[in-house]
Amino acid sequence: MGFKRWWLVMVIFLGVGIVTPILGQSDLVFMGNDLSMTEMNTALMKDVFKARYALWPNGKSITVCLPGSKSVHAEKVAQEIYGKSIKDVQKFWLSVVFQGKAKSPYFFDSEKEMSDFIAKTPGAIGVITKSGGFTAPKSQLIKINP
Amino acid sequence: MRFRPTIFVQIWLPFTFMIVLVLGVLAFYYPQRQRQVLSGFKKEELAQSAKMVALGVQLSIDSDDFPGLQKTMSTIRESQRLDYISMVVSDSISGDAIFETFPSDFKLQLNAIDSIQYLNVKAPFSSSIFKGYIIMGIEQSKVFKNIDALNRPMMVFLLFIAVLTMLVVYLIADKITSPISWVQNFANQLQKGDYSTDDRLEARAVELVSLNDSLQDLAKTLQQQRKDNQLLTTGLEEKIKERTVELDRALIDLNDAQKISHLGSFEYYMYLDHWNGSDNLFQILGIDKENYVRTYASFLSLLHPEDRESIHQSFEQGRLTGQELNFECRLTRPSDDKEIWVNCRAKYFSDKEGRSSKMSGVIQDISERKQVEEELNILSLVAKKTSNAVIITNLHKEIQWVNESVLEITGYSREEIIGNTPKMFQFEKTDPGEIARINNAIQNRQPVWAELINRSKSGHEYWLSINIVPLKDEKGVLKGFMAVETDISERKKLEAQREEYVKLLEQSKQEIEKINEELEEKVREKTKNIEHLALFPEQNPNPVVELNFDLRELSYSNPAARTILPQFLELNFDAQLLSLNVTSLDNVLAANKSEFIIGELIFEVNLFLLEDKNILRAYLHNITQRKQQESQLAALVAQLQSAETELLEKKSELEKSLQELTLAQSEIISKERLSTLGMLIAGIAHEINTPLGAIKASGENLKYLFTEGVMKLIGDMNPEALNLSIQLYEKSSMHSLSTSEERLRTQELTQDMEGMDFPLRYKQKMARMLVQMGIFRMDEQLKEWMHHPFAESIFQLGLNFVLILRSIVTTTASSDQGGKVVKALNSFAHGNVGSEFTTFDLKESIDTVITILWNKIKQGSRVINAIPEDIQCFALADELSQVWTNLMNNALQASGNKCLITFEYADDGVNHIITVGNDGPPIPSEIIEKIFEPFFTTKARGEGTGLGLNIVRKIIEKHKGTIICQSEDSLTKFIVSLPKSN
Repeated sequence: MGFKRWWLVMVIFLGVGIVTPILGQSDLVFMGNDLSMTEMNTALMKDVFKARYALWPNGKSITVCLPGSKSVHAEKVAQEIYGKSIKDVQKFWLSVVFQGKAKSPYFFDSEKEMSDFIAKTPGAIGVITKSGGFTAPKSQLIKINP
Repeated sequence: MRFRPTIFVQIWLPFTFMIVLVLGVLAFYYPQRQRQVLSGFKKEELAQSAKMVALGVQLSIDSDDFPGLQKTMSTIRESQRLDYISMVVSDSISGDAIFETFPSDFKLQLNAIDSIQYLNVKAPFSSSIFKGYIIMGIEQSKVFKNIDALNRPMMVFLLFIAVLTMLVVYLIADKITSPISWVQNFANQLQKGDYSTDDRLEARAVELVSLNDSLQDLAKTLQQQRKDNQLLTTGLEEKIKERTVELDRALIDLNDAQKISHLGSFEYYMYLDHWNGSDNLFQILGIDKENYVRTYASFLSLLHPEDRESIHQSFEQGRLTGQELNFECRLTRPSDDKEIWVNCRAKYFSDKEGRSSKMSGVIQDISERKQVEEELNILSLVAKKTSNAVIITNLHKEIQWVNESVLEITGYSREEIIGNTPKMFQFEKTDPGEIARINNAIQNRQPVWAELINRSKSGHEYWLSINIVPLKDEKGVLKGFMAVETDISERKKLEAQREEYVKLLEQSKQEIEKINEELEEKVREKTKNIEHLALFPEQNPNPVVELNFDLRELSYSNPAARTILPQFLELNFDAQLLSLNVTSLDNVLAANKSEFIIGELIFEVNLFLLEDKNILRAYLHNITQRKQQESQLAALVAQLQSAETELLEKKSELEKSLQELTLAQSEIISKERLSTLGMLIAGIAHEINTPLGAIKASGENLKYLFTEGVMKLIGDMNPEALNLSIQLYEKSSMHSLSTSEERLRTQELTQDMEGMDFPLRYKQKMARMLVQMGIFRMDEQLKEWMHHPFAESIFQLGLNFVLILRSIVTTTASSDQGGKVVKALNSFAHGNVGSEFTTFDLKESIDTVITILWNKIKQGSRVINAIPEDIQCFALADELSQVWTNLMNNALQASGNKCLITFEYADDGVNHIITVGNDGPPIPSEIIEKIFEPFFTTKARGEGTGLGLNIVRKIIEKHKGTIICQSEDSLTKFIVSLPKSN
């Protein structure tokens, strides 16, 4: 085995080794309604949740849905999407809403309520956990880095 | 409507002002109140909004209700015209954080919200997670924008009210004050003397009508009084006329008095710049009263140019201080161009404000007095300065005044002479006959001349030629006597010599006369014999010959002729006649008594014509011996005359020699001083060279520091660093340390820098620079400067500034030292022949000498100048300097420049006593008597001239002082006594 080939194999091996645990271990499930897309990459997902965009490509207004701050999953979601504590996420959204920079998010105490709201609200995007026990309708599922 | 200023000012104007002021206050207060109300309302509204937002924030955090907050914010933004709204959130970790809403560029300063520009409200909120508050504000100008527009009608209304009030008040004031004004005018008329009554006053007010009636009565009373006054006035006028006549008479008398005393009066009005004067003043000044422009400048122009400035200054000073003027000056009369002296006395008078407004005074022509004074001055000067002694006595022969020459001749002081009689100068040799003659003349009030011998205080005898004249005043009253005395001692001496010669001459003459008489006697005896023998020529022992004119031959010769004159007898007739000096018969008598010389014999010829006149008999008398004696006498007289001439020449030579001797003595003193200076010059040169060297070194140092140490460093530094260098320089001091002290201080300062993160070598370098600058303590500022990027340059530049200052100080001090030496040298060497007596500071004079000798003194000697300050000495300063120099130089030379020299002072009332002591080797008792003798020296050949102490004594004696020397054990003292009086 030549050196180049061996090097390529090692890079692929290491890449797979690093990426697989992140994606594989993620407990988050993303839901959406009339987003004009059913899949997106992680970066876009994070930008959407950080209110960096206001509209979807189809012109619908983006509505962010998150687990309530008192929810057991809230901390996990905050860490994975925002890289912050839930307290800081609240502070972030307080700032955004107060300054009128983006539409206010919606917090839900149950995943079912969130799913129902998404179903009724075009342009809404939400996140739940697999471990929460709720199964999201297939029509609402959004794939991240498929 | 009449305008009345008084009423306008006193009633209408103040009242109107008051109303306008009230309205103005209302106009200000009302909008202000409106603003307050509106502000309160708006603030309440804002507070509600802020509370709502705060509640929204609280809910959004506690209940995750962000849409509610969004709605609230939208509502607030839409409904309120806010200039800003902000949210401040605080937690324990991040502290306060501000979330701005709008405008995005509004920068909220929490500690300085501008409450003047903005109306601000604040509403707190507190959630389970955060605490904070909402703060919002609106610009006050927006809130109050419409208030001014709302108030404009109100302002117009107030203005209308103000104008209306002013008019009403004016009309009322006019109505009230018109009758008062009329009464006032009526009273003014009365005051001015117009007593005509007037009933025009309308019955507007009872009080005023009553007042009017009173004034009418008053007018009538005054009319009556005026008539009475006119009667009185007529009497007074007559009295005034009488007084005026008396005054005019007094004025004429005054003018006459002024003319007699050459006096003129004047008055000067300063504001008008005009002066007026009496008629006599114009005569004195020689100006035309009518045509002369009488100003201050014109008066000054009359003054002598030399007096003009000083008189002007006196006038100015008097004008400012009110001081009375009294001065004398010269002025030129324009009428005859004659210069006269005047005395001016004047006094200033002030106006109500205290400024000088008028000057009155008198000017007196004092030319005659001045002339007399000048003559007196000249006479006084003549009396003082004449070489003749002048003595003035009173009627009791007591001396009242003497001039300097009297003091010089007699040796007495003025105090001893004044009040005494001239008898004090007389002694046993004084001729009593002459004294009696003088006394007799004085008693008869007659001038007298005499020659007297007197004796001075020191016992010296001198001859005087005295001319005494009685002194009478202008009225001829005898006031005393004046004696003008001339020292004729020299003349008397010469006269004595001449008398001695005359006596000798007289003796010689007497001897000659005696010889002559003897000879005459002999001649007489011989003549008798001749007369006897004439009849018997044959028996005459002298030659006798007879010549016959008819026969033209020698007819007879006696035996003596034949024996003595054989050559004569052999001559022919004509030759014989010629030998007897006879050319013809007519000149026989003329030839009589002539001399007949033959060989060494001289004969006197006596010729007689016998009976028939044809025979000439000649008797020849041998006078050879007498002729020889006469020749000897003539030679003796010539010798005497020659001796007298020689005597006069010798006297003249002696006087010349005396003058040359005096000059030579001064030159010797001067040369001795220069000789001393020559010996000291090497040391003095060293004293001058030392500061010169220091100046040169400082100059080079300055050049280096300026070019290398300052200009280069400044070029590399920024202004801030340069400023720090200057501040560092200002901290410096002028302490100068030894090398060991500097090292020690550097170590201490380096220790002070402990804890500073610098290499040890760097710290030592900085500490050394600080110590060299005279900074011995580290303070916080210095520590801070050491961290500066240019620290090293800052410290080096500061040090260079200090070094430059030190170089300048060194240069100045060295210049002063050099200047001091040169000044002393100049003062010492300046003395020359013919210097004059002056008053000088004794201590300063000795200090100069110490400076000259300093090079020798500093080799191991010490000098204490204990002469008190301000002792003024009247003497020949330069020659006294030589005294101190010689005394100090002797002490230094004798002790090998290692001794203590002291100058002490005492005052016995008459003399300055200066004691110059030294603890050098004592002077042996056997030579102490000789030290003042010329050319006596104990020094090695070439070290001294032997004239030093001799010159010292001569200089002291020249001052009529004394010097003595005492030398005991290890203390030698020279005690110099100098008279204090001039």
